[in-house]
Amino acid sequence: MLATAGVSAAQEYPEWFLNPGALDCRTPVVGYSYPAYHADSAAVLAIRDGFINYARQQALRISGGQAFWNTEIGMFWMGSNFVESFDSSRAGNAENILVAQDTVFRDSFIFTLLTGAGCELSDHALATRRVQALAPPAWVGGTPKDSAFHYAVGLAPQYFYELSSWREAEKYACRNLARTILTSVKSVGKIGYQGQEIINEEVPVLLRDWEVAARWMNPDEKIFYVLVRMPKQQFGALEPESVSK
Amino acid sequence: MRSFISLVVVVALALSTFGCGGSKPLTQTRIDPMPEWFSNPPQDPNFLYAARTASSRDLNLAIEKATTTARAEIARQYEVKVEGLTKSFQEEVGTNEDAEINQLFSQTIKTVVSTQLMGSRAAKTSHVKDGMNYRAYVLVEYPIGAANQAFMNALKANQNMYTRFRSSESFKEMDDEVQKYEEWKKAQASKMQ
Repeated sequence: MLATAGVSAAQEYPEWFLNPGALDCRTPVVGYSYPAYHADSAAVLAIRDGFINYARQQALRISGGQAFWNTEIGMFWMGSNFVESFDSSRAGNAENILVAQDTVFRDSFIFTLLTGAGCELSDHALATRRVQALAPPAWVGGTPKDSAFHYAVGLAPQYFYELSSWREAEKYACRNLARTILTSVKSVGKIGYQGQEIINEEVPVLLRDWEVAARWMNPDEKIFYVLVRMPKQQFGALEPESVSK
Repeated sequence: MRSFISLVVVVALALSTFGCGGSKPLTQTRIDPMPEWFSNPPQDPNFLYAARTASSRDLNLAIEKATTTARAEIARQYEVKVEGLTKSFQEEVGTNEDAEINQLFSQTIKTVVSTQLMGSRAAKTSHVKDGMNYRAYVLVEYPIGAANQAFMNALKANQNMYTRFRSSESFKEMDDEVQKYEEWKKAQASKMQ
C-alpha cells in the first residue's frame, strides 16, 4: 500500500481520484474518512468506508420521489422522500476482493483508493494534479453520450469538511442516474386567471455495477462535481413493480 | 475668533474640492447571458428536448427544479390530457337606454400528465449566481423514434427483464409508438419511390 504522507495542498488531487474511470483496474472504489488522532486509524476508517462504497456500487436501490408546486411567482419545493438502500453484507466480501492502492492525508479528510487484486497503478495515475491548472472537463456542462454507459452528474457546494461535498455530489449523481433510467412523472396544471402546476416525480430504480467515472472541483466557484456511470446492458436495474403500474 | 473662522472656511473649501471619499465608479452588475442551447434548443426528429430554468438558494434544488419541470414538459409533449372548462355569465340589469350589461367570462385549462420516462437525461446544465440565489439552466433530452428503437433493442437483449417489462402497460405504449414510427418510415420510403 502506497501512502502519500504529509498534508497535501488543497485543490490538488491524484489523477486516480479525478479520473478513476480511466484506470485499468477492476472495481476502483474510493473510501473517505475524517482525520483521526492516529493517522493509521483514519486510514483504516477510509478503507472500511471503501468496502461500504463497494457494496453500494454493486447494487444500490434508490426509491422515493419529490414534488414541486409551480406558480407564476416561482417554483416551490414541496418535499422529498428519497431512500437509498444497499446490501451491507457485500461489504464483508469486499475485504477479500479489494486491495488498498494509495491513501492521501489532508487536513480535513483522508481518502484511499481500493481496487481489485492484480492492479498496478502507473506513475500517471499516481501523479498529483492541481485543478487550477486544468481546464474544466466537458462533462461538467452536461452528461456524456455513450453507447456503453448511462452517465449522470451530481454536484455540491463547499462545506466545512470537503468530504461532505464529495459525498453529497456523489449522492446527487446516483439519484440523477436513477432518474435517467426511469422516472415516473405526474403533473396537474391549471391555466386560467392564474397558472399553477403540481409536479410529482418518482424513481424506483436499482443501480447495478455503477461506478464513479470522474471527479472535478471548480476552484473559482468552489463547487464539487462527480460523474457516475452504469453499463447500459444493466437494464435489469428497473424495479419490476415500477413498470407494472 | 478670526483664525477659527478661517480654519472652518479652509476645511469647507477642502471638502467641497476633494469630497469626502472621492468618487468611486458604480459597481457594474454582471449579467450572465443565458446559454445558447436554452434560448435556442436543438431540434432532432429522434429526440424531444425541453429547456427550463429555476432558481433557489440551494444549487442542487435549483437544478432539481429546472430538471423536473423540463421532464414534465417532455412528458407533456409525449402525452397529455387536456381538459377545458369555460364559464360564461351574462346579465342585463335595467331597461332600454339605462340597461347595463354585465359579462363574466372565465376559461380554465387543466392539463394532466402521467407517464414514465426511460432514458431521459440532462444533456446540458449551466448555472449562474443570481444575487443570493443560484439560477440553473437545464436541457433535458428524451429519445424517441430511432433512438427509442435502439432502447427497445437493448431492452430485448435482456430476456428476463424483457419478459417482465413486456407485460407492463409502458411496453404497450412504447411498442405502439415504435410501430407508428415504423409505419411512418414505410410511408416515407414509398413516397420516395
